[in-house]
Amino acid sequence: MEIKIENTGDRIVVSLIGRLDTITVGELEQQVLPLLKAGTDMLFDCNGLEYISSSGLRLILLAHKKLSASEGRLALSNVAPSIKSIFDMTGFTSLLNFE
Amino acid sequence: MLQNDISEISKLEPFIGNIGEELELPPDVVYNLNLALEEAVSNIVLYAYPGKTGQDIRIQAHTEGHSLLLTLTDSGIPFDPTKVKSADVTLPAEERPIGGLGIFLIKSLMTEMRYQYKEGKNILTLVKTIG
Repeated sequence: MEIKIENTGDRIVVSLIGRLDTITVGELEQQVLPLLKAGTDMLFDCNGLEYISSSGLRLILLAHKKLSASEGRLALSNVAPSIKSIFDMTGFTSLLNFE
Repeated sequence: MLQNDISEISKLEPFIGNIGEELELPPDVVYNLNLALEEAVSNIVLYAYPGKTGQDIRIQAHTEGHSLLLTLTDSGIPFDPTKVKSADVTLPAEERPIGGLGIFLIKSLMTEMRYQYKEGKNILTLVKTIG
């Protein structure tokens, strides 16, 4: 999995490319957890994301909870239909912000 | 045959991909099978053999009529995932526990999940109707 992180000044854009699974989630966690500071506006750009498992969902929920509790915000963009259907199935569609 | 190491998860995609090609399954079905299998295997890797490495997880695939059966066998701690209470996916974010989605996904993605404990082995069968 490839992870690109860009700070655009008003938000942090995390581009996810490849498969977010039980193996690769550790790498994303290491890079993203230190960035979840109070008031942070973060976008997960899922344009290149091909696959997500429950370990990836867990990290997204964790990031969403941490940021929402501290006046921050997490949003997702460019979610592929195969991944959107997993979000629908798990109730994430109504929990998360999509752009 | 896999070992109880998390890196073994990477073997599941080609394994399911080959089955998908052989049975001419649509991409969304292949995706769902891959996901359900990853959830089941990662549970075994993470919890079945605490503190032990080099333990086996056997995965067999076969068809019965219009069903594909994926059978996972391990000799770890007895664990029946069919008895696990499903995650409540209707809760708001602040009330949602961070974990617990893996077994929910298996139940949602597969047609049926069967479990038996036999001769010291967990035998979990994931069934998917394929046509």
